[in-house]
Amino acid sequence: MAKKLSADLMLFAVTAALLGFGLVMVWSASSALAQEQHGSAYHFFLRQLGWALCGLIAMILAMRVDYRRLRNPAVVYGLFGLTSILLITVLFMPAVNDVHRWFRLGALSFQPVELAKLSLILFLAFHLERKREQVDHFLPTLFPALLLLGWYAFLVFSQPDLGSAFTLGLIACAMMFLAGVRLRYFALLFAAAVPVMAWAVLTANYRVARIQAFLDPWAAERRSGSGYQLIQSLIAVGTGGVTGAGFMEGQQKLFYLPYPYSDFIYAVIGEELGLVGAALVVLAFTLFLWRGLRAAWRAPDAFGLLLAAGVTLAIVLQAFINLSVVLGLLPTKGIPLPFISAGGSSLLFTLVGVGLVLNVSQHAD
Amino acid sequence: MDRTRQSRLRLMFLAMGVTFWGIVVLGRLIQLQVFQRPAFERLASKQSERTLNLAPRRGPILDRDGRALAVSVDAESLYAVPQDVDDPEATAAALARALGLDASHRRDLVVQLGKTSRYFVWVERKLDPVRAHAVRELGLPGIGFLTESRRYYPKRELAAQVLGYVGLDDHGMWGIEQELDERIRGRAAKVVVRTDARRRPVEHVEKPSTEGHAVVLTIDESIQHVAEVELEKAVRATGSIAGFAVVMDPRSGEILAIANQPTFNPNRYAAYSRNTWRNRAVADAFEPGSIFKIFTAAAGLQEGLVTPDEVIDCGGGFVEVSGIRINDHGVFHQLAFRDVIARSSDVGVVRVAQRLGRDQFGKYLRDFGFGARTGIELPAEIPGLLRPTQRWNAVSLASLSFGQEIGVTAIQMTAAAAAVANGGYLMKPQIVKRLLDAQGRVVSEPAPVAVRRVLTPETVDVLTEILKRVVTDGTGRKAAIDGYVVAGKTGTAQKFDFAAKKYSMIDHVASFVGFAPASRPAIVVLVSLDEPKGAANQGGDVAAPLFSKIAEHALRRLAVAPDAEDRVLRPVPGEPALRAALTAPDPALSTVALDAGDPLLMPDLRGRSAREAAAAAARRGLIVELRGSGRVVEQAPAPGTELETGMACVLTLSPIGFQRRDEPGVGPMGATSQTELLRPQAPMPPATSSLGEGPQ
Repeated sequence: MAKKLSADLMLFAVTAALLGFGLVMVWSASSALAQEQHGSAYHFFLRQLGWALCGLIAMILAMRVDYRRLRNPAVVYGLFGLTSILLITVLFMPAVNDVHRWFRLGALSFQPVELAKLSLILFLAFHLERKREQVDHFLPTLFPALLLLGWYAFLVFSQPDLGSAFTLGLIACAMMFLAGVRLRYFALLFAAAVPVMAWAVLTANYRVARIQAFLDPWAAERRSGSGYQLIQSLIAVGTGGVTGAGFMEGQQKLFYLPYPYSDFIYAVIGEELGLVGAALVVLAFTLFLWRGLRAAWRAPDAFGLLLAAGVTLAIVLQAFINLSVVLGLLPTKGIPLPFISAGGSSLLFTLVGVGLVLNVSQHAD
Repeated sequence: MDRTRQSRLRLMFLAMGVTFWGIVVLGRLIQLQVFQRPAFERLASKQSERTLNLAPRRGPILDRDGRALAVSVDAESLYAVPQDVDDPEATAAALARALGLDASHRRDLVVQLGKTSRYFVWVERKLDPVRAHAVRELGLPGIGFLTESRRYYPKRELAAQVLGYVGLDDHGMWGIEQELDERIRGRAAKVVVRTDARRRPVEHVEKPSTEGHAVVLTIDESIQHVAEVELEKAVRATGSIAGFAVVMDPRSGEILAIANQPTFNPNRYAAYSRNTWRNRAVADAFEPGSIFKIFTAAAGLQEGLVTPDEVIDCGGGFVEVSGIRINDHGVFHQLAFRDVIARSSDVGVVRVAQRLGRDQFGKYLRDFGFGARTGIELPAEIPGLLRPTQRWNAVSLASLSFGQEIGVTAIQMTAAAAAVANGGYLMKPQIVKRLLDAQGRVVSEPAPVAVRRVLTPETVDVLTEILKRVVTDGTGRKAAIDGYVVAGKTGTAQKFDFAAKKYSMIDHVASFVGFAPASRPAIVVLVSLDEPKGAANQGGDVAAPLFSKIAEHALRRLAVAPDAEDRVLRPVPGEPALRAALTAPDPALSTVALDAGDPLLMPDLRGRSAREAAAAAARRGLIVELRGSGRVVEQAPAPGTELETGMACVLTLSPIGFQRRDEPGVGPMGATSQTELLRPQAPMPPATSSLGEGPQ
């Protein structure tokens, strides 16, 4: 404990690089569209800049508060309570694009699902560390964990946001796996999840359409026009080639590509910066993964390990899901690219999470 | 500690697993951005570039002397970029005022201009200059012009069915416009509109059009014009429902005019009934009636089954064929065969056809080209209706002999008559003289095509004499032309009443087909009036005078020397030079040794034969009027006058010898006639001529 407290600088550098890069790309992807839709080319960029600054402050705060002070039932359950309230109330907010996902306060919007991710990670780290010695016991250990996951997933799914519910499940599984839950439980969990997912997909036409669009975008486009998003995304990436069209030079980001500054910003990167830029993003996230997991590896306690690993995996898995969607490797989900996509609360909580990982990295033994 | 180790192991495992995912993503990037890039480039340009095909500049259609019948003129087309349009309502209102659009068009326009998802919409294509100027003056944002070309027919209705028109989609419809569309059209100008991020056209990459080929027709504008005017007058005077006239050069098969009534103005084709667009001369068949007796007579004479002097029993007005009574249109008893034709006895020709028999007669009809398309370069040509000989019934042979039970097209009829006129050759009718590329180079120039020889010159001579008698003493007296000997045949074909299933006693088609001058035919003219009304409405009453008017003008236009001179020149029958001049298309007839002169100056034509002088003047674009016969003694304009196309040229002729100064030896008429007729064998070298070298 007498060790010098120093955070992982490389992790910090990767974070800063991704953040700065994200701002630049948001500018490129959104300026022309912002000019059209909001009368100012800076609309999305300035918001993103504001959120990034807030996020950085929050990150530094999170770094400075010893993560072990979070190992406190009041914090964990308090956050659980707050998250639950927000997730429930958001369902009664006016729908945007037919979903109840955002709180809007004037120009600001806030997605409680981002808080839910953090809350889930914190709860699982707290809970699984406490039940460390009986980690395979269903009732004391797994049942509460699955109950919380189920509760959050249900609320998120009600928005509806199947993609985020799926991400929550993925994070929870990764953390339970790390905590030492026996593999056969995952087989059971998997066996239980498949019918639920299948039901969720098959009962919503748009999800069926997304799956079809994923399987064969061109056929889906011809049949119902549902392949449009993916086709435009693939065209953007494909035309980028090795070196790209050049920064700000992309054609696809306007009109052709839906949400070029948020969920599909990676397509703009692929088009404008080519294989070089797109691959660098993958490498940056991989580096982030390794540095984050390194912090977890070196964490002095199970809480720190699970917290750091949970946050790192939440970010990187989300990133790779987003990249895979953009590249047509996964069906479309409304999942933003961490650090890079425009989106305030996502960026804020991502940076808070990074702050926690950096915090854990300071305590490496 | 054990638990921590397990967690760290699983941490490693997860790190590797997620890293592997990253590698998959990288692989996918390479696949998309390296290997599939060309395909995506194509997709991208497909959706971000729009290729607009602008109407290409069609090549002009010209008459045989290069006068424009159809031309392309620049026209401005108005487009809008909806995203740049500030206020669709106001813009549409302003445009509607400038363009003179009605309310429903204006509402459409508001919708079009409001379609901000489109970056390019046509507002109005091919504007006239006045409206284009009015729109330009408005200076509306988001509204622009592209230059296209518009078809314009400067002579309005002239040769409308020959020319056709150009539809909205820039495709030629009917006529030459359709038949030679590919050649005339040229390659469309392409404008590749590339859009910027806001989908506004930032650049137009224009691939210029190549102008299509120019088509030089065999049509002579002047003859066409007169044919149309006279036909229209005749149709109106007789109350006919329709009519046509075809003028052909029998030696080459070139069509000099095809006139149709009713007609239309191709500049405003949509304002006319679609019935008027069709060229009846090729697309419709008609029952020819008595004019068809020419071919029955030709077959009978050629086979030696009848002679002009043979007296035929015309049965007193009827004949029974297989128990069916065929009534003649008049009561005839004993007629010499020449009078059978001259007075158009149906029974008389039935007798001849019976001698021929169905197989032989059928063969002649096919040899004359009936029942088969002529292959003229006009669309929608039909083969007409001639049943195979096996399917003829008991009276078919008889009916056919006077032109019933057969459907022929005007073009077939004219070509068949031309085969009589030109000494026995069936010539393929030609409407296209040559194709020129945009630089004026000749691309193709079809040569006259003799399909087959149908008649011998001897048969032609005898038949011509008979057909002359039709005009001098028979049913076709009104076809006579002052100064020329005409051969021809009248026809009054009862129309088959399909409702009553019999031939109508009232409605008929009045026709005349003939050629002139009879001894050296320069033109064949077929005229036909559908359902003429009035007291005197037979072929000889209404069609023959129409023939006379059209043919007279055509002969003058072509500077064919009158037969008044011919009487003096007439060589002994059977003279080989005459036959040569008659039986084959004679190139010498159109190459006169006057071409050395400056075409812009009036040559000295004095002392020249009428034909030489008139041809020389006509080639310089003059409208020639010949007065008298013989050689040129006076001319106006005077030699050396600067000429303009269309000027009148009056040549006064006199049979009294005019000594050409450089040819003192040429004096007596007999010698001149020999020179004239033998010229193909002994052409006069231009160098020896002082003519055409300006004022002397």
